[in-house]
Amino acid sequence: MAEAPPSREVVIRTTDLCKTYRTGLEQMVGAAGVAALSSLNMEVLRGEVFSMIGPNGSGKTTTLKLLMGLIFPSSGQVEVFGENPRTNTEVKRRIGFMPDGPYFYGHLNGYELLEFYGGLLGMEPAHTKRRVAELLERLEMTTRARQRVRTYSKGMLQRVGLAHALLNDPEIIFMDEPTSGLDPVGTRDMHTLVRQMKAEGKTVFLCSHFLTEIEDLCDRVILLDRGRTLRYGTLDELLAEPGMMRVTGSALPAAAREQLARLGRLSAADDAGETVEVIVADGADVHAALECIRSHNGHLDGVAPMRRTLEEVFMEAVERQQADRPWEDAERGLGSKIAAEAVHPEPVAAGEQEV
Amino acid sequence: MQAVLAIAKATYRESIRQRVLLVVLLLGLLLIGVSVAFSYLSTGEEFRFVVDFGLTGFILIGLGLAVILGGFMIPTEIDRRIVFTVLTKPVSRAQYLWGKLLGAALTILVVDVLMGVAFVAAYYWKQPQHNVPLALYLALVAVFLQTLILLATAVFLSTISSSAFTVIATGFVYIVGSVNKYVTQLSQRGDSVLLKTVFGVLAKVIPNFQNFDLRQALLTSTPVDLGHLAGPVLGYTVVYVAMLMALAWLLFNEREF
Repeated sequence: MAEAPPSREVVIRTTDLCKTYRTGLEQMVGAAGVAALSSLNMEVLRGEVFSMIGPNGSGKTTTLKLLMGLIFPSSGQVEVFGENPRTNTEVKRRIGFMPDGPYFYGHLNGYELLEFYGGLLGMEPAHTKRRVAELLERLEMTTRARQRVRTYSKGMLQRVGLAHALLNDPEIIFMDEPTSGLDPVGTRDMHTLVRQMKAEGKTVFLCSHFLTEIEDLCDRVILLDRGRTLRYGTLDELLAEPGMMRVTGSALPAAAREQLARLGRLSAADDAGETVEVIVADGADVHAALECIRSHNGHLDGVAPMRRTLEEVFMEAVERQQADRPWEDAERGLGSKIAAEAVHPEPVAAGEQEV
Repeated sequence: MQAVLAIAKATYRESIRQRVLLVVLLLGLLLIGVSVAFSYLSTGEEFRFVVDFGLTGFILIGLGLAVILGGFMIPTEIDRRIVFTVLTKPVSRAQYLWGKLLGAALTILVVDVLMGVAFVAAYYWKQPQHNVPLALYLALVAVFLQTLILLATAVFLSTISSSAFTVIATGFVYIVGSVNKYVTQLSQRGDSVLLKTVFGVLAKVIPNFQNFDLRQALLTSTPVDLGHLAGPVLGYTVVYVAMLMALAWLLFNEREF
């Protein structure tokens, strides 16, 4: 199915969005509380698959809850279709939300549950019936629809969760860990569904820990850690390593490989070591690598801009953040103060010299 | 309105299928059965025993249901995050609260009707003239309305506190409300200004359930008319439930999940 290109219409916008959690006592005494989100600025465009990634406690769930109006900003603004979802509940008619590990009324069966959500959405009973049957069929849940929800497996709950989120044919669908608990077939089906929704011009807002999944599905990504934005942009922007090229060659003698190793970072592209790739700086080094392959009568298999994996970008950004702000780990009781100090030691006092 | 009805329907279905409700219903029917079985203790006035014992059981079952449903349904939905899936739909928090209250009220009504049929049958059997007065039906309606106030109290308390506190506090409201006349008297007697103030506030804030208790009228065969139910009982219920729900909404609207 051909994908519809994302438009420039902003459907979700956060402006300097901050959220600090305070207990009742902390509010009374004016204590600082725990900052879960600091100055989040992001825009999500119609028709794109947008992903929010980050370690546990990075602020993903807080952001989702703010976008749904389940919690309220400490400062800043949240807009969904230009409206505040807290004060204008009507905007929720146009969105769908699939929570992580969804819980539902256990004594209702699948049909009753989805009919209930149809009622909340103000759908006509006849339309709800048709739509429920269609979704159950699409998600292969028809045979289980008369069972009580409390008897469902985690995978079945995920499917019902997805069905309830798609009931109103939403323009934006928020998915929190959509493949969590799914088997490989279910995961593949979920990926197919996300692609279908994108092809239909829907906006998908995805929170997931599976970085390969994000890399495979998303147009743009925001990376959060401890409530701060570390990276934000298109996948190409995030994964590109500016100024570096990957040169791949094969049928090369040992001398050629040694020469390539001197030019840059060399790695064997296959187990036998017959194909090698070298990461070199763009410009003269690329020419030198090409010349080396040519002069040793090797095969040039490819030259491409260097692109990292999302996992590499993620780890690098998070480790840099931890190294820059080690005290936050200690404040959060993560027990990583020692590790942080190892990465970012205390400055040596004046008059002392390291030996 | 459609959202309120959808929530009420789901709440009713969810609660009516819980085993604990069946246990409560059986307990209620057992109490009525016991009132019949032991009615020989008041020889010659067996129906009075049925009225006194049966109606007390009716009130206690109502209190139990109000506490179980009102005190647990919302905190459980918050704990299990079911509320996320409801409030992310075009549903206001007021609609959610009213839907939950209506669903629980419908559940209590069904239990009360089943128990009521058994109670009226027991009365009919034990009453010498086999005559069921209007006052008996009105007494049952009054108990249901009292249960509604207790249910709204539990819903209100559950929006700001734990289920355990809600259970205890709702029980306290029932007890104080049942002896409201004495609490009022205590607020006018004694030397301690503090105690007089405390009793005075309790007497004014906590609903007066003595208006809802028609046992005495039934036992003394005092006629009770519809006017009594419409004014002090029904009007009182509407005002109290509306007030409690408005307070619950004020607090719930600011709550974060």
